[in-house]
Amino acid sequence: MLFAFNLFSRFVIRDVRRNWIRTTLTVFGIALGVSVYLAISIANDTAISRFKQTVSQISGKANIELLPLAGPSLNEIILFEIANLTSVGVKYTPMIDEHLILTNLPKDVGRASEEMPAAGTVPGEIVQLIGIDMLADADFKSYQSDADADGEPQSVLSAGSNKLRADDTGVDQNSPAEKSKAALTVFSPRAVLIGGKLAKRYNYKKGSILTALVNDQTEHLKVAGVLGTGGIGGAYSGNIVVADIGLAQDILRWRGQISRVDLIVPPSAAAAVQEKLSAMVPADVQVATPDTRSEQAEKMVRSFEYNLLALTFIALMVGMFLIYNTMTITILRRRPEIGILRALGVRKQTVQNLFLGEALGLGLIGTTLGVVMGAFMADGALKAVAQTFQYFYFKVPLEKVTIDPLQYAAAFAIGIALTLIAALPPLLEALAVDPAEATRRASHETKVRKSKDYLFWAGLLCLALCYLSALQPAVNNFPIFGYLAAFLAIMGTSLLTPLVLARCLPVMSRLLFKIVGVEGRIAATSLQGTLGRTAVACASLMIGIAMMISLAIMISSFRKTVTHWIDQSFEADLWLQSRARASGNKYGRLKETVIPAVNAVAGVAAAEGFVDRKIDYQGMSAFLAAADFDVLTSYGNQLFLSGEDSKSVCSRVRGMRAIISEPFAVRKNLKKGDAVLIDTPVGKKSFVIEDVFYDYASDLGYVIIPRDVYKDLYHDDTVSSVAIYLKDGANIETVRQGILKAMNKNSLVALSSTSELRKEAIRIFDRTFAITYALHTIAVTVAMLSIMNALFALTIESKREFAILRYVGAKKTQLAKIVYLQAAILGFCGNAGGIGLGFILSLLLIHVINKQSFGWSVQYSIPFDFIWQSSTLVILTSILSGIYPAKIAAKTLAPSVVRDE
Amino acid sequence: MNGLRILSLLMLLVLNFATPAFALQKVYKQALPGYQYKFPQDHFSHDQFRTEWWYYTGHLTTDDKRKFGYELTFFRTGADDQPVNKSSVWKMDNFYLAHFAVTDESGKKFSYKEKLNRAGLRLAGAREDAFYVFNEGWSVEKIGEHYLLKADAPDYSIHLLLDSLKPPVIHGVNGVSQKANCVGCASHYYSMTRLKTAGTLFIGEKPYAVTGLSWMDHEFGSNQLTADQSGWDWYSIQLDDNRELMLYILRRADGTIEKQSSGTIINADGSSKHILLSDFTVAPTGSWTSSKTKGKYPMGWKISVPSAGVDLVLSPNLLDQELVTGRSTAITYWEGSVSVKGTSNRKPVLGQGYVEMTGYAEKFKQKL
Repeated sequence: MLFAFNLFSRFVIRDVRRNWIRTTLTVFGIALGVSVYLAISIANDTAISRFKQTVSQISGKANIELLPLAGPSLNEIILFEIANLTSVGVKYTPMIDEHLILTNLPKDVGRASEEMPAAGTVPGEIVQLIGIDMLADADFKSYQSDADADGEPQSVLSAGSNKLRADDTGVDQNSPAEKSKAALTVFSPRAVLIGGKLAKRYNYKKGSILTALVNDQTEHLKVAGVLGTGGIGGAYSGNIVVADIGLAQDILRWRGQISRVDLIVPPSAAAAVQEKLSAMVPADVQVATPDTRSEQAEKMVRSFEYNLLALTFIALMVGMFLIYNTMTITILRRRPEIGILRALGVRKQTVQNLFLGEALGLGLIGTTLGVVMGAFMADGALKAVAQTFQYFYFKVPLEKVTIDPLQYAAAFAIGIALTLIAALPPLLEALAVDPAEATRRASHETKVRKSKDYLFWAGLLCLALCYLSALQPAVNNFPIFGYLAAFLAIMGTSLLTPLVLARCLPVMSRLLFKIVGVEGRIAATSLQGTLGRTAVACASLMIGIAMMISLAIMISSFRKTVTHWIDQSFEADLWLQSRARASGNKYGRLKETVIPAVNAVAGVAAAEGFVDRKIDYQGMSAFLAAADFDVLTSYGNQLFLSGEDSKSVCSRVRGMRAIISEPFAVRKNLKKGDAVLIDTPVGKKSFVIEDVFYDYASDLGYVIIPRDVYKDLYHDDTVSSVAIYLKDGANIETVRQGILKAMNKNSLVALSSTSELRKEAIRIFDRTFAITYALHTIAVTVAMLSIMNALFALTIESKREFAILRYVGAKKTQLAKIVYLQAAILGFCGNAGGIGLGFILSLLLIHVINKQSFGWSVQYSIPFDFIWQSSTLVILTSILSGIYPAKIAAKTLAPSVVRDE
Repeated sequence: MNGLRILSLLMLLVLNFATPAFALQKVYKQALPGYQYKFPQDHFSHDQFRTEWWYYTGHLTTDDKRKFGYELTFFRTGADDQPVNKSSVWKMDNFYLAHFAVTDESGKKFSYKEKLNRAGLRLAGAREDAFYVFNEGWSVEKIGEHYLLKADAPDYSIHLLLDSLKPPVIHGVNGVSQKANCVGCASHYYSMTRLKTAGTLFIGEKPYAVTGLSWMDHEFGSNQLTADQSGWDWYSIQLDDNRELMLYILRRADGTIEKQSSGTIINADGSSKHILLSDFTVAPTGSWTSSKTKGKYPMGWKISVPSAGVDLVLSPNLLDQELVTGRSTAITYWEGSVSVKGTSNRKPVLGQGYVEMTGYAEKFKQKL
């Protein structure tokens, strides 16, 4: 034992310490991979776990829910139908759970400065409005506070005062009379309870007046109390306004509508009740469990989450390569020593343990560091994705990460496992060392040289499989084969590296000889001589660069596509919407009477009303929208997949016909001519798909039907926005003023020009890709790390050759020059390979992974500027990382090294 | 008569805290002398009065002689405040409350549940055109000449059919039961004092056939209690000689007894007599302190009505029959089944009764 430890400390630790720069780079590489992975998984998990938490906080003990299928709400008349279920012990209560925009906010005392609202938006904060039957059974929503944790859960009415913070001190808050007194104020006119977080942020107290923005109106509400953090009070992190159901309907203009019905069904009757309900509810109502909503949310964000996670796997892979690289080079360099150890009678097992210990040590330190870094980075990652989740998917507060020890454990396990996997091939190599053979110099190199042809063919096989994988369809909307293809591409190109280098280096040698003289030839030949190490270094550099390049290509292609799409399809000159919608409430509406009012304004050629709602389509969220195709035919300009002219497609969309967005088509596997079956309040309705249009506004997908049909089916004559087309020569400012004047004085609207809207769209795009930009930066860092790591390894391992060169008369400056040249060759080869692999990966990302995940067609666009700049950066970094090795090379003392020989 | 305090409390709260912003208050009818009762119409809801309740208490016996007491009460109280549009189904023009308690006299167990609702979409209601009062799954309705009571709770449920053996008894004088000296400080109050009862009592899920005798109170008014009244004792007694006795005593905050406290004695033939405070005495024989609320209640009573030849001793069938109704009325009261022994018309008699005591667990006025 002691011997083993002694040996480890002398044989391994000393060596690791001597090569501390490379050790640091390796450890940091692993750390970066692990930390990025952990940060992203925590951010992803937080989003889903917060959603689930909110569901359980609001649904309480409910085990069955009635949910709307055809929009945000369902008709409350269903309560009348289910009233008789109480005879079998069923309890039920209606719920409203909707966004509400608060405006005229006092100065935010919690935050230092709020981000300036973008053009075309109105400042305001989105909070959640929870409408409940304040008299309902306490089993539904407890307002339990820590103080009465042992007690039965209480309803709002009775428990209210316990939880309402006393601001009139000196009153016995626990007396029954006080309880009732405080509780009953919630029934006074326009009285609401608010969450603790909201109260704290704006210093709201009992009696404060809130201004809510609903559609184009404001609504004043009086704070009757502040909720504690238990039960509903903790939902949405306390960013809530709780009102009695009737008031909530009033606020939202939701007469007779509710978000859902929560039911508590005795477990023994659950199946029977569920069956009975299913037979009883109207066509646009779904009988579900609270889990259903969480599952839907999970499905909705799955593509987005896995995409991010896949990118982090590339970072992990680079970390793996760093380990592989380091271990391989260590073992190659130390073959003679291994041989000596073995010749001295040290057992294979011990040698294995020595190197395993080294790999494990590096892995442990790197992973631990990675987990710590990841924990710190998680908040940033969450911040970067929070707005995307909230804007595109669901609005739950994501200000703080949810700590799940399992996440840390998983990241740790992945880090260690990948380290061991990466260290395995070099380890096997070390074990195969034959004591006699090992003493011969470069014996391993002969082996690599021998097997490079096999490796090449294996590489080609990988690439062939990659190609085949790329052609496979998604499995359940999940591009599993796309990810496999990306992995195969990385493997394949790495395996090609030795042979390609073996073919290229002689050419380079001749070329460099002509340009820089003998040092050039020696630099290239020496790399050729140590092909094994060169190939590993080159491959790891290549992967880092490929990640950087592929992300750059993907982002630039995406941005260009979206910009083009916006320019093409935002044809209208002005866009009118309610203030509430402009502030971020997607359900902010206007009465359709604004359309004739706008049409009457001088200079307006046409106004088109557009309305959309989130619907449930085959268990997944999607948008149903309605547009005025008469106006679209004359003025609009949608881009269609068929390439057909917008006018001719739009002219055919009448009656039970629809156009669908590309993501919807891809995800639901629908095409032109198919029928799409939509749940409406009057049952399932079938629409014939007239064409598929390009759309990048949402990956959930749109179905657009004629608005007259929509109005009949949904009894909804409101509009979300109005696209306004001007007459030729009309002055946009004059018309804008004219429209604002034509609006009802009490109507709060937002009128944006198309250029403002475009800016906003690009802003949202950039925000969505913020996390990708961050990953991109990390990719660049990792790429640079691998250059340095590879070079340090190579040059330091070439000491012996330098000594011989010194011995035969080479000058110090010549040695330095050789090192710099080697660095440049390596940088060049790695960069060239990286660009090649980067292209392959970007093709996979754009045409397979993203296409299958989100359904977006992205026009491939190469950011030449970036590639040019990054290449320069890579080669410069390579040369710069040669500085230290060059110094070492120059310092090499010939006699001491050559004496061995 | 009982339950009045509970309702008044809630009513006061609603008035005090919910209405100041409103000039337009609903004007309720006052309980004034000269009211002409008409049945079955007066069983129905009287929405023109602010408060109203239907109160059932009774004693049940199973085939194997297990004894149970029950209380099932439906309240309605009008509220002026309209936080939402009056046309909304969620408007709160009336609150509906209900209490359901079962005393397992043999098993020495007391259990109760409460409900509070607005009319909503079939959540609760009391019809003005029929005798049908319900709160979620609990209900009382008149079917032919029978009354059907239904209530369920996790521990106990009842399905009972009641038949009145006597016509309704109208309490008070000239159609009003005066509660204080002011005009309108009164209610319209009648009882059905002897209701033959049969049906099913569920203990958990298990049904037991039961028979017994019930008592029904129905009272409506708008402004019964005055601010200086602090508590209330109410007694309903069914004697084996087919006579019944109802008494109520209003206690004032200053320790005196409201002069309007009174009662009614009902003879075997259904005829009845109003009795004044000076006609009867009630003396407690002991006391009981609630461990839950620390309220100290009189426990055990000697009641004597000399003019009717009645001398009775009432003993509780279970000490803890206290209801802490945090969820609905936010008031604590003792309402329990009692056994009765004594003399009636100078002859030994046995009987059963219900006693209600309010205002012992909290001093409502001081807190307010």
